[in-house]
Amino acid sequence: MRLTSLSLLLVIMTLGGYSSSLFAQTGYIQSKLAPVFDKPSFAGKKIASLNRGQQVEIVAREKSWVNIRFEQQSGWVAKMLLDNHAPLASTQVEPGKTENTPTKARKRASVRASAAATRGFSSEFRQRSKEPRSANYRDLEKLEQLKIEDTEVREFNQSLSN
Amino acid sequence: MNSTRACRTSIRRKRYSLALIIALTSAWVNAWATNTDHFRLRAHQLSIQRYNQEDVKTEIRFGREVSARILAALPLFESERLTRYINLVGKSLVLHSNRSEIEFHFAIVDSDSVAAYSAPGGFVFITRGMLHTLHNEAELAAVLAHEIAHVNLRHIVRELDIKSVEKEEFSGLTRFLGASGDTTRVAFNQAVDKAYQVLFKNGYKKGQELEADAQAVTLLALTGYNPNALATLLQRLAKNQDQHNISGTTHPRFARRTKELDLILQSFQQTSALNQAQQRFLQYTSGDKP
Amino acid sequence: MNLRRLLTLYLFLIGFGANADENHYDEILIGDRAAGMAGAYAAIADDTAGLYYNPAGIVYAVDSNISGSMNAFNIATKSYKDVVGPGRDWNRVSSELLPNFFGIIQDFGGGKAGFSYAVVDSTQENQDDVFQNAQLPSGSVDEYVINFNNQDKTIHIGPAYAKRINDRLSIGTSLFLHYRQQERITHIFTDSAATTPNLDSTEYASTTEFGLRPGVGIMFTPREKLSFGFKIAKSFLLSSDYVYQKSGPDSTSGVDYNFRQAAEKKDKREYPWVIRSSAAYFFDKRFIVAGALNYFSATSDSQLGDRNAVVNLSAGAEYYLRDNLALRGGVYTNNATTPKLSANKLGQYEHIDYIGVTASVTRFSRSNALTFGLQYAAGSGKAQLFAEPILQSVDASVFNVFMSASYSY
Repeated sequence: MRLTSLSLLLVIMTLGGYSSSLFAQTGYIQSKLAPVFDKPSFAGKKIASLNRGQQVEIVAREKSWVNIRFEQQSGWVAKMLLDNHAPLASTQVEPGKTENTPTKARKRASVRASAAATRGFSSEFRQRSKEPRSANYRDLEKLEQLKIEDTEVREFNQSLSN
Repeated sequence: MNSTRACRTSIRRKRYSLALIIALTSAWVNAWATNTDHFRLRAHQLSIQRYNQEDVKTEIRFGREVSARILAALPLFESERLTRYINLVGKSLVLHSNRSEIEFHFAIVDSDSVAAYSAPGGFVFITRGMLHTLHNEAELAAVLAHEIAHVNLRHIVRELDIKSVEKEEFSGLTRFLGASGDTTRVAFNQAVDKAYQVLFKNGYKKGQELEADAQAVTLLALTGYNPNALATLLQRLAKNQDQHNISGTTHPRFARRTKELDLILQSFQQTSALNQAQQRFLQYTSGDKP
Repeated sequence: MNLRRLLTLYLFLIGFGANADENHYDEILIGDRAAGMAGAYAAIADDTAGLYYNPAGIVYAVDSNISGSMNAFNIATKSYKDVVGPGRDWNRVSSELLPNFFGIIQDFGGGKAGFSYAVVDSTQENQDDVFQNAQLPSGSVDEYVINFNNQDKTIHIGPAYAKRINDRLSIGTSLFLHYRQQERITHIFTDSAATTPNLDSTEYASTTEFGLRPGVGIMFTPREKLSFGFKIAKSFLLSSDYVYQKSGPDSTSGVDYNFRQAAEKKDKREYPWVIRSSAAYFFDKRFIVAGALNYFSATSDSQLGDRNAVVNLSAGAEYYLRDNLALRGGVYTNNATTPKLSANKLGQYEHIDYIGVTASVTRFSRSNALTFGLQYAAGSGKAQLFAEPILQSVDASVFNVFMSASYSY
């Protein structure tokens, strides 16, 4: 009697084991462009291109591909481009500011500073600071000033397949 | 006699039930082939592991400092046309990459060495010498993709724990226990030094280089370039290294990298985009070939 | 009223029924998250509380962690009904502020090492009653005064270590020092015109125990999201010092008020095997449901006599309202180890079975977490306060406010 009930319990659990999880999973596209293929391979046909922040339903996973459902369609997208939370907003920092704003190199900064001292890192640091420890902000700003429109980049990428 | 037979049947029944239980248990246990502990992570742990916007700002500020140091050693190679070109290639790759919140900047530095560098926050540098060795746009994309991957995977950020300061009310204890003021400034500068060391002296960890290679190849395929370009380039660089003393000192032996890449590329099967865009590359680079 | 009967009555009063906490195993719930889930934790155990519930779980702790919790306000009451007449109850109250847990976990040698301190049992019981015209089983007295104070604290302190065997199984072990300090003082005074002399008696008993408590735990994850945890432990006493002193009248002559009795015993109490078994299902990053069954083996020793095996059940759940705010709730049983009382025996320990509920809320920030929680348990049962074949009904309740803080690094 006990064995029968135990086996019945196991049958139920086995069936439960093969069913999909209780709650459906949502994913968010992280990249500006996310090509979706009809099978989990780059050899597949590209059936759609999703945009950043788009919410999709995760159906299955296979190696580095995820089977998703979106807008009544389904396909495979690279795992790398999907995450379970919305992507961060575009982040920028005003250039032209020399740095001494406090950053936390976690709470262990003081430990690291002293540890580095005992390891002799700071002696090396001291040595290198004998040469001018220079920073080239002028070139940095020049580099940052180059702006290219998103549309131009997309066109450039598109013309690859031509 | 009857009782013995009944006894034997009862034992047989028990054995069958036991066999059934064992079979079901193993079937059930194998219902999931792989097992991760990821399910144990709770909501607050997952959100803490995530980097927020403040963290990204800190990363960019840090990356700017590291870039300024790089540019002090290797100044910009001033060619507007070429710089624009590599930015177009690089930003095409970034369109298809998971860290879409930062604006990547690509620049050519004036050096004969064959190398490429990236700093946290999206700053990618490629030497004149490297541009020399490239044969087509796919190979250029391969180099840039590898550097973009280092930024996407936050290799330096994780290594040096670059995160923003907590702004919560009752983290006063944290601030007290942790660094503040002058100590943070010192720590920040030491972190910049450490990043510079990773790029120019010690190199990334071997696992991180391989990880960057793997992501680079995916990035190439997603953007529409021939993913084999990275392997081809590495093979050529390995051959060149034997001939000239090229700065392959910060990278794991090329042999290991190409071996790993071959494994990854096998799983890619045939990709439909085998673009190398050689023509376009020659168009841009022949004009003012350095 | 026969003085002699009064004295025998008094004698038995002290020996039995007074040390309530020796009669239960799951009095105090340790750990903020675990306590909020009524202790159904052996299959989760992935933080410092794992050092207590199941050391095998600490391998799943994300960072190194340090945490402490305390019962900020604890009040336990016991009301023995109609003891000295209809409607005249004996009330015992135990209340204290008690830091009851501290734990630390750290990476070590491929696994996780930890150290913890837990007050697994604590009582601060007081009774101060004056009854006029008390009706005792053996007759009545004009005035009956009782002052009772019982303190009993058991601490487990020590290291633990756990390691993964493979991606489905982990094993952990702990070795605690068991320390118990108990002290009980009772003073009874009766005054009755009808009898001389009157009873004025003080009794003192104290127990100090040292022992070792090894424990082994495993955590088994047969498939994703489902976890089973088992822990077995037992306290083995190395030394036990029992001191007893009583001053009061000689039971035969009724005259002498000198220290009459003193005893010292070194007999070691037998602690039960404790087996905690639990299952937990992690639905998603926000929701966990868990159940546990705790088994305590039967014991028999010269100190407490024969004790039954006890099975306690608990069930709990945790739900994240937001990424940084979690709610927990649970329900549990805390059953008596003593056998059920029968009216025609003497010298029986009290038997009270409790059922309790718990709830807690935690606010998380990047590296720390603060928890606030409540625990309430109610029980009823029987006691035998006097050396008479009479039983008293007992109503009991426990109310606890607990707080804890933890820090990850």
